[in-house]
Amino acid sequence: MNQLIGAVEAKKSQVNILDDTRTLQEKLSILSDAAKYDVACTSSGVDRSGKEGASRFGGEAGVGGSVSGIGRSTGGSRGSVSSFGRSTGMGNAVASGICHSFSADGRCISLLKILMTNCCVYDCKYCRNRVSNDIERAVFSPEEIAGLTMEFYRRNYIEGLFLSSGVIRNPDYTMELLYRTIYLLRKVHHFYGYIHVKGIPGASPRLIQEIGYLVDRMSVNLELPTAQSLQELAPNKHRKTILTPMRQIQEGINENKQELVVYRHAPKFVSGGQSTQMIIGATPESDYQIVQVAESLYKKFQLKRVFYSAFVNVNEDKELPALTSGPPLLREHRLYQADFLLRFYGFEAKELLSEKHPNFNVFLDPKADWALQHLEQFPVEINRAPYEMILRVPGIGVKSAGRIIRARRNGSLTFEHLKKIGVVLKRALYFITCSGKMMYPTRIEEDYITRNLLNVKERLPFDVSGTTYRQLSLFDDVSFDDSNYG
Amino acid sequence: MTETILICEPIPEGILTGVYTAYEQKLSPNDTHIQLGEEENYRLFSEYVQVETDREKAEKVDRSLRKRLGNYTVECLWYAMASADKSRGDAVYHTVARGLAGAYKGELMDYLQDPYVNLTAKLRINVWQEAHRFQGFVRFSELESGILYSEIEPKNDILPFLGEHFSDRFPGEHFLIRDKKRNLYLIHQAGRGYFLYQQEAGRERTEVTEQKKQGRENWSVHGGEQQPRVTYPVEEGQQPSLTYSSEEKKIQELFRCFLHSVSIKERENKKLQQQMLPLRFRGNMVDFF
Ligand code: SF4
Repeated sequence: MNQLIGAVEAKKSQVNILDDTRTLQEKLSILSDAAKYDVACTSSGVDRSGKEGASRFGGEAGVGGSVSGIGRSTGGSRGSVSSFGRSTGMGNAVASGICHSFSADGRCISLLKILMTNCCVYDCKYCRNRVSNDIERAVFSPEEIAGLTMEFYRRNYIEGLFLSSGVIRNPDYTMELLYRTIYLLRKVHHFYGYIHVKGIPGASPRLIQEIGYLVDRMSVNLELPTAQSLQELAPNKHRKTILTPMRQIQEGINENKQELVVYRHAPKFVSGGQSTQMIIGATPESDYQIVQVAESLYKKFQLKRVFYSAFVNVNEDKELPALTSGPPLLREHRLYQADFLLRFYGFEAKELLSEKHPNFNVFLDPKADWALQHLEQFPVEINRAPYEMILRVPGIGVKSAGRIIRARRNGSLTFEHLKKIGVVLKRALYFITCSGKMMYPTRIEEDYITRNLLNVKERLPFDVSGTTYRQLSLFDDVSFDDSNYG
Repeated sequence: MTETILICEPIPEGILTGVYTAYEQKLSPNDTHIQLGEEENYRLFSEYVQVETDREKAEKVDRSLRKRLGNYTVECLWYAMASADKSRGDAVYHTVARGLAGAYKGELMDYLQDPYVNLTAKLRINVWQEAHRFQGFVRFSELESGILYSEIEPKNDILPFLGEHFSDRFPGEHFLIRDKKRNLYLIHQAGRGYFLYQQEAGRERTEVTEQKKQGRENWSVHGGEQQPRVTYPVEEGQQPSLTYSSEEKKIQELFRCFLHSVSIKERENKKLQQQMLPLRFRGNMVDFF
């Protein structure tokens, strides 16, 4: 490990050749701006107390007093605190995720989301940082990022760090810079908050391995749904160099689980799992293709999350769609809804879409759409149906279904009861019975129900003009429940 | 039959003393209610009883409820009691009555068909959500002495629920969170535990959990030898003088700069922003200037 640091140290001086003398604020502004299109900004899924953090990452002796920041010593103020009492590091992680602020686009801000650098030797057509663009470039030093993270964290601005980077020089060089930064945070500053790092495709397995022991989550971007699209828009990237580290991380996580069974104190590897993201609407894939890709990522690569990012044409590249009406937000929204159906509602991609029916309905959410195609399975009897079937009722989410199952132990439920325990019936009423009775005399008939469902206005997370958006991953998995998925 | 109305102090200990009184006097829950604060809507044919808050009685009720109903249920009740809703006392009392009567299956808090349990559950979620929000929205500023200081103005009495979270997160920091509305302080000393201090009443508040209050004696009102310069809690009526560290302004500016540049212009949606982070929180946050 020390060798590795030595190597990083040696190369670090080369970064300085770039002589990035901008102020910290200028760098922050450039490098957080450059990171903003990355969507996976949640910190959820990891629960770790401060003490556990200390035993997992602690180890080496601290440098207490100098934990001040922003790359330079501030002298007095912090010193007086750290010399007082017992400093036991800083930070924990909360599984449900915490939003610290909300940006003007309404998205949850949970992590300090920045790039190490926006310098990049690659030329991906959809990316502002591509080498052929003439933009302002900046590079953070590992010390600067570590200092910023600590100072933001102790003021409770953030849950942790989300660190990504353009490819500077080559993948290994970039990955080593990321490693050095995270090493500083964990081992020198004793930071035990949440860290998500991007795996750089093409970086050596050894680096991926080392960094995996220090972070909570690692993700390698799939970028585009198919190998062909990738070849067209990201000529320097290859499907294989993306899937290889993904597989490595998956295997690392699985081996680690075995180790943890045998040795309880074995170091943990990427304990929050891995995620990925792909850009939607820059290339011609159908929703069906995309959902199938997501399904196989969940099944074959055991990913925790797949994020979808509505394409924003930042480069106005001729080869890319012009998007006169703004980013395809409704499509992105439908994909997130379908994604939840795959992960929490027991649906399979082929139930939702098919070659004949390859795209989601603009007017109806995927679950309602599915239900209308499968009216023979309805109505569902609330007092007897299994949990799995109640989950499939339009308008009933994971929370409501759970409440129904628990409440019905205390006797038969009526529609009144359902209302009381917070089940919204506006849409569900066409699909359920309570003790054999429908709420109103309604018909189980496609046209009739469709018309009625369309009368219930769907709550979309952006306004009709489609120019706005909501971070669906607010509390990662939990929030996209009943209220959003009615 | 005449109704009995127990008038209790509007704090958790007051409500629990009311529950104690109801059981001690063998009052039937069917015609007994808890009302908080002043007598209002004076009702004919009702007997009004003033309940004097008694911490020992309250703690006794807490302990025996934990035994009978389990820790989970009792924590739910504590959240509900922290609500600002006037009906919280009565909701909690009757929920307890349902629980002790045992006329339900499974977990008491799932018995949502019952109007009192239902209301208690709603209050609890409401308070829990506000507490959860404040886990994110609390903003610390660094004082000259290195102490981290924060002010909040929550609707409900949620500060007691933040102690464990922030102590676990910042074990090596001295920090103080002040609930401006209630003049309640959460005080944490580096490497030690935390405690709550109510300024006006000059008394400590009962802890929600079994949090140990080690180190309390070292944090004296007027400052002990080991204590950094800031003297918190301040004396009654006195306003704290807050001098920020030299770094503080710069770091706040860096944060605002970050907030500004991570937003995606094409997706701007101030309405949604306001829905997620309502204006009432913003006064105490450095995010918006
Ligand atoms: S590798 Fe491609 S997507 Fe990543 S920063 Fe470079 S140009 Fe952008």
